[in-house]
Amino acid sequence: MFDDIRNQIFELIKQNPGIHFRKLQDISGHEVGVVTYHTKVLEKSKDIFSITHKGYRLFFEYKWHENRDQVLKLIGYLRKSTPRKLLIYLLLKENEQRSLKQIANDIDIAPSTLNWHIKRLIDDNIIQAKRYGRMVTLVLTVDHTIVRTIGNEIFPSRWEKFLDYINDNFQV
Amino acid sequence: MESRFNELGDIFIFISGIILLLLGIIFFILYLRYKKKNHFLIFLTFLAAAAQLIVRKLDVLFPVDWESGLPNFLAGIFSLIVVVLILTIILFPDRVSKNFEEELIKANKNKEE
Repeated sequence: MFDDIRNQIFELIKQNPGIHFRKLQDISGHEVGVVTYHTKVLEKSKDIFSITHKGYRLFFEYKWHENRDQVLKLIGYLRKSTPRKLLIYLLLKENEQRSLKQIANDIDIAPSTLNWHIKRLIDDNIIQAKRYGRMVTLVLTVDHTIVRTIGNEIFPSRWEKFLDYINDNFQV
Repeated sequence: MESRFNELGDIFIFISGIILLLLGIIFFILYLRYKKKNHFLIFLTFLAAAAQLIVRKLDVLFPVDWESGLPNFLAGIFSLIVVVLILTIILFPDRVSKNFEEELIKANKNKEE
């Protein structure tokens, strides 16, 4: 019985890397105490690990532990409006090769602003630039499922959106 | 009549100082968020501008000897700092180079090595 619940929770975390505690509880349909107990056991046995970010507890299968720093950086970028837009765009258009100009046009951002963000995302190994003929395009280097799950859990706050608005519209 | 104008002037200067300080704080938070050099320079500019306004009203906080000219001197220094900072921001904008795409490919290669 206990093993069934634990396996169910583990499978959910495995399928949704970066799942938030409340969502895990909602999907599994168990009480808070039950989910807390089993996640603790799974963490102790190093089957999973968690990252706490501004009160959010996100769970990952242990195999992602070596990418912990990259995941933390990804969380930071998903809290910033423009990098978030870009990451989600790249996630949705993963099979389409688009130039930087087209990307800037599609997500409605000034090319200079976009380039500034791209530079930082590449430095932090979140995305990669690839050349196709004469065109340079971007691809995600982080796992797509992680971007999808965390992207659905973490959003920029209203205040952060205001700061991003100033940064993007006040180029200095 | 003259004192009323003085009072109004003080109020306007005080409000301007507060607004400049708030703007400065916003740019400091932006600097912490994006680590952009020019955000920090703008923060310093707003801070110096606020200081320049406040220094003229030092007599409200401390007994200042106006005849020594010290408040005026300090205000002048802060004004100069504001001008220098604004010039720095204008002359050295945080822009990406024209060969941006090549730089990106180079950055990839460096990482792979």
